[in-house]
Amino acid sequence: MTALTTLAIYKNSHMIKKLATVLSAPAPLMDLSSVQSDKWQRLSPLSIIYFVIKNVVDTVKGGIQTFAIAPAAILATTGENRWLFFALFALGSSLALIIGSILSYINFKFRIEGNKFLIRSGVFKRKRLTLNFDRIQNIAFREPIYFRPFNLIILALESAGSSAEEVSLGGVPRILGQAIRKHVLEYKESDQHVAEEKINTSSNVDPEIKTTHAEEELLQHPISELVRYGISNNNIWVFAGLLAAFLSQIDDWWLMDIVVDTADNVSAAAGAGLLIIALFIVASIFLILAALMIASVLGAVIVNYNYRLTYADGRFHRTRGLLERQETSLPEVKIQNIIIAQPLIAKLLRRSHITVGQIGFKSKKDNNRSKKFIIPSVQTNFINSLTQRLYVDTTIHQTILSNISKKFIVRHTLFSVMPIALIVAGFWVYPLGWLAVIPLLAPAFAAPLITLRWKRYGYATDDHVGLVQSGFFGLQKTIFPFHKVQSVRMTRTPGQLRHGLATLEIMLAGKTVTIPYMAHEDATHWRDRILYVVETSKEPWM
Amino acid sequence: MTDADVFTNEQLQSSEIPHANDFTFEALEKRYCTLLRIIWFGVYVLILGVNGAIRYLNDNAFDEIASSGYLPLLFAIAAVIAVAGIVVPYLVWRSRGFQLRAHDIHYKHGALWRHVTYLPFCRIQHVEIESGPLERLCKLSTLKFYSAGGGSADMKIPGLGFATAAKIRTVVMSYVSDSADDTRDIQEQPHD
Repeated sequence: MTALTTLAIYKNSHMIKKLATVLSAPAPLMDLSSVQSDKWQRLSPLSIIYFVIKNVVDTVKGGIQTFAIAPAAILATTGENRWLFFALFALGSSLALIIGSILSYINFKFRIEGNKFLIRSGVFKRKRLTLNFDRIQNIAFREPIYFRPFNLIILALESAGSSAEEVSLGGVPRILGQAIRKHVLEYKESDQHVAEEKINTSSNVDPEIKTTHAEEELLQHPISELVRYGISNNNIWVFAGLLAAFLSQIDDWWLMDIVVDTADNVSAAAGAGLLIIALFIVASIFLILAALMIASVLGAVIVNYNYRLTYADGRFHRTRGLLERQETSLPEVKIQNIIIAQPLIAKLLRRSHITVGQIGFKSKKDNNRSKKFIIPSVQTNFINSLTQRLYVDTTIHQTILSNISKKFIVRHTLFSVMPIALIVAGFWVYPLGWLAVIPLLAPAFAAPLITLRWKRYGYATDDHVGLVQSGFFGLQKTIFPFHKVQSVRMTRTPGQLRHGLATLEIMLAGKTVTIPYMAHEDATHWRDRILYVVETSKEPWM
Repeated sequence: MTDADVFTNEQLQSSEIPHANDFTFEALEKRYCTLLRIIWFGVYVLILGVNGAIRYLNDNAFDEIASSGYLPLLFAIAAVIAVAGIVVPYLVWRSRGFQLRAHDIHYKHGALWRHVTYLPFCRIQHVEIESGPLERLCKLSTLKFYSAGGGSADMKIPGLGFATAAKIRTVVMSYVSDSADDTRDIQEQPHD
């Protein structure tokens, strides 16, 4: 086995060297003939190190708990010889790791065919991947420390596909990587020129017109508006969660002592009157809520201070921030959807908060992604003008919302809450006897809440733009154009089949919109219409 | 907003929109049913084996069970699991299927909860054919389509013969490269 691999490594190192010398010859960059030939190419043998590290990282990511079970089980079950067993296990797994990585290296092959990247990989699970140049968003070089002395790199091909499936070639000579990048970019650019010429000739767009538009101010928030945002956004519950987590950590801390002492004093002073104690608790809750709200308002003002939203040349620009002035720019075409949230308090203040949905694929280095593009505290007229700007001619706001079926309430009461109640009751029968009936009342309490949830659901479309509303106490509306949909899924349970209903999931880049228990007829209309628009529309989705 | 970006709003009769018919799905290879059975019984034998080994190591465990009177019940449970091992994979196999149209691919799954996923070709980012050791034994492969919709939007069609999987991939990839030329017309807007 080892002799064989050594031979393979030797042969390959020889090949890579040859490749490298070919590439470092005069005018080397464009020579991709070896990669573009019918022969499959291997990575550098040093990529075994890359595979070792990748395998370890993947295992740890896949759940360190499950990974730790084996050694723990060995330590627990074996007697006196446990350390011997443990050492054997460690030895065995490292051997498996190394052999696995060598096999990964041997089975990893790639080549370029026309405008496609072909990759074969996998030891147990054989994978054959085809990646079109058009779909490559970015080609990144990564240079881990162990590759540096050998002038090797990890070539990461980033596509808009799911982030879990990042395509990386670990252990490619830098010059080859550069040549590949140049090749791919040149391909993309040459196509782009052709396309641009097409646009110019076909639509006669005057180049003067498209270059500069005056900046248009859409929104500027005074502090009062930010205060409204601070009060009405749901962040205070986030703060509350943090506070609860913090308090649960400090049960023997002095603050807790103070609370307990105060409670004691109050009950002593009041002669342990129940009413007084109840009042004390209510007052404390109000105090805590007020404190949280002030924190939320301060946060909102600091982050969004002097909030300004403008639009120019197809881009939204946002500037905000007190301590750190932030400037963000968002091309209009990148917008996948807009979410209009109206929590309960915001509803009272007649304000909504808009989150502009962008493509949700993650890049490890791109930390900005987590910074959501929020337009806080806006009124109906702003929402209307924004949707008109994004989706010209849309009549979505005039369309009447359709409701989902009442079966939604029945289903969730009987099949979600009831089973849990039954299980809990089952566990309580033995220790509590007849008191175990109490959990069976849960569905009665849940039903009104589920009804509330049912009532909030609604959907509407003008056949180009879809609107889906959901919520509980507050409201949330998601608006998206059909041509940005990625895929559609329809689900029908036996009950839904009987009653002519269906659940529709609409996958957008970065968000899934679900309409549960809608009429099957509507669901098929949405599905057919979405597929039709996606497949015929020439609008870009990103 | 530039002129080229204006939302097209062509008039269209609803009868003109193609309807996705859910009755013309192609079945997966019959061998896939066998594969599911192999997995079922493999897991079954593994659990039984581990269980038996533990009981064997705890001396007298077998005698205890035999004398406890639960033996018929245990045999009955084993029989039910074995019969389920024949029936359930069949139902699962029957519930799954795919259909190709000119512009999209549909995949249905779920025997009780029926899911159908509809994926337009023009949204496919890349394609992968995967084949695990057991799948290779049954000469089967899994075709995976990745889209930008994230994990839940990716489509996975198991139980395809090698040739079928390759054929579908070729069809999809040729569509992807063709349509890429069209979409680029608008993809590179001046303001981007």
